[in-house]
Amino acid sequence: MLLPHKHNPKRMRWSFIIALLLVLLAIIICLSASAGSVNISPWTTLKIVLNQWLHIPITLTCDPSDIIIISDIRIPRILLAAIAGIALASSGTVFQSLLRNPLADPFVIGVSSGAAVGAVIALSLSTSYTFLGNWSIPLFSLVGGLATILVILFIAGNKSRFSSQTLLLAGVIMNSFFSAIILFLASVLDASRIQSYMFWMIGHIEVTDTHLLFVGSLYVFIGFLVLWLFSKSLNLLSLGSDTATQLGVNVATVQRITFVAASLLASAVVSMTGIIGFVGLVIPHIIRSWVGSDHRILLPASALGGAIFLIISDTLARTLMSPTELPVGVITALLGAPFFIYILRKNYWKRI
Amino acid sequence: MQSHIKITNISFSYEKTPVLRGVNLDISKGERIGLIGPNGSGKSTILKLISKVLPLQSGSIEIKNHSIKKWRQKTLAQTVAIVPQDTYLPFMYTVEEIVLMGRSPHLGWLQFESEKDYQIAQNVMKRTNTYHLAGRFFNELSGGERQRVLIARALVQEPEILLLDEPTTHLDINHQQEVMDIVLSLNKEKGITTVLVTHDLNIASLYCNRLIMISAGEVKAVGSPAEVLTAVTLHNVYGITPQFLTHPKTSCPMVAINPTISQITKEANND
Repeated sequence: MLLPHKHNPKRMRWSFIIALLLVLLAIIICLSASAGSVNISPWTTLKIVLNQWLHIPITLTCDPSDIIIISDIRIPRILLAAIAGIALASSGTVFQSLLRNPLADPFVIGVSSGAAVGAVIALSLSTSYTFLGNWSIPLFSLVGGLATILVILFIAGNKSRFSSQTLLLAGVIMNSFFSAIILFLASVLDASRIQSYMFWMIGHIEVTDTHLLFVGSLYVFIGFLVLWLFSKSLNLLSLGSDTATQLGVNVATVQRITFVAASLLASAVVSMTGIIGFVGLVIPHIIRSWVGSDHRILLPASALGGAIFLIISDTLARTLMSPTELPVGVITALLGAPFFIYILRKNYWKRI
Repeated sequence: MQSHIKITNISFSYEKTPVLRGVNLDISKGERIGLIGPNGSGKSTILKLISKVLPLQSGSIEIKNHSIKKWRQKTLAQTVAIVPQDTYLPFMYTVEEIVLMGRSPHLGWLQFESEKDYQIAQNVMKRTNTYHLAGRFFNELSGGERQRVLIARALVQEPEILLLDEPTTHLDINHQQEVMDIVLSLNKEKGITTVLVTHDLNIASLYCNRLIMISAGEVKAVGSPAEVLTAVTLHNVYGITPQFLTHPKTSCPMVAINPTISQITKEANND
């Protein structure tokens, strides 16, 4: 019930939600880092993380090799999963509001497949572009994503405001066009590269270069911040662009900035991890049914939820059938779909 | 009287279809204007032009003596509020959230709603009989409740000009009265200028002090309900010859359709 409070109850609730998710994230990180072929206790893991990553002086009594496994192998990988989760979930949230469509996610818009085309081109050319090293696939796919954004903006036309239908349709068409290109490239790809192509198309978390990881983290952080700064405008935009205009939002500007920021986030993730499905679609809905639709809380909560979900999925991907590693995209879909259906059945869909 | 909305010779076309052709209107502070006319006559387009949802193509609009082109969207939203016909929401927002969003024109970019904003929202919700709905989801409300919430959202903008786009169209008769009584009392108490777009001639006659009949993008008649709702005008605009009654309590003119006898007989024969 609406009551005037000295302390805004909404902000108290929001702080609680964020704190809860942060604690959960910390726990998941420790559990995930301790799981694997070499079993290290979560307690030791926590101490190593505090010591090595946060530079808190703690005497470590464990095997030195454990330190290397945790801080050089597992934590970077967890970080990559976390930033991918943050980027996918927050861009999914924004696309759903921008298109006012609960089915929208980075893939529906076509940006992800554009980035995928870039990556597959890099894969099939990689011998001649070795000077870019580990950066060739990320750079190529980022270019692919950017090109797609430009095409979509071109299709949307020079009208002051986007029509959600046009954008959705454009996305669907571009998706099938890009799929054809990807399939074409795949069919002429030589056999030795099929495996990495496969992994890439289903999405996998692998840190090839720690510099890339740091650049990626910074990039995702900035992208998320841009989206979050537009939270209130996104609230109004999800009421419809006419209403948003009448409530003082400069719709054309906000639509363009948030669209480009969300697309850049999505294509950056695709460039680092391949196409990981379901996070951008499912997580925003799950979080929405919990915290509500106000983007000021929805965006950060979705971002953290995405990080948690992807870390769990990636942990399962590397431990379930160890030593064989599963592509994380398989796990996100296997976990995400049933959970999503459960949420729908329980309370959510009837409200939409 | 202070001029609140001055529309001079505006024309507007969607793509190539002209919707408004040289419309002139002058609306003073505190007036209750009824913008009436057939569907597709351009009534709603006028509201969209006033609220800058659509760009002005030709002619000029002045709000409080300042050209609309000079108004920033946000400052305009502090002066002009619009109650849309009905809003479809793809996501779940509570009534409280929806109403508070009406405060956004008064808030800074990153500013949270303050105690004062909550207080304003609370007062408006009590006023519009939506306070008990605060925690409910907007999409789960009935049509009448939703319309009251949309009015509440417009009122927390604290506008001087309230534009209403067919607020009673899909409502049962009791809710029509409820919604229109709220609008009337706001106008009487706070002097809010109201512009009501409706195709319900009787609602317009009962609740407005000046009617503007628009047809095919042109103003056909302007004046008091008695001056506008005449046999000649209605025949010219709608091509019908209705019955005119007088409301026993308010003595406003009421229009009743006149069933064509031959058609009724024909229907009866078919049965």
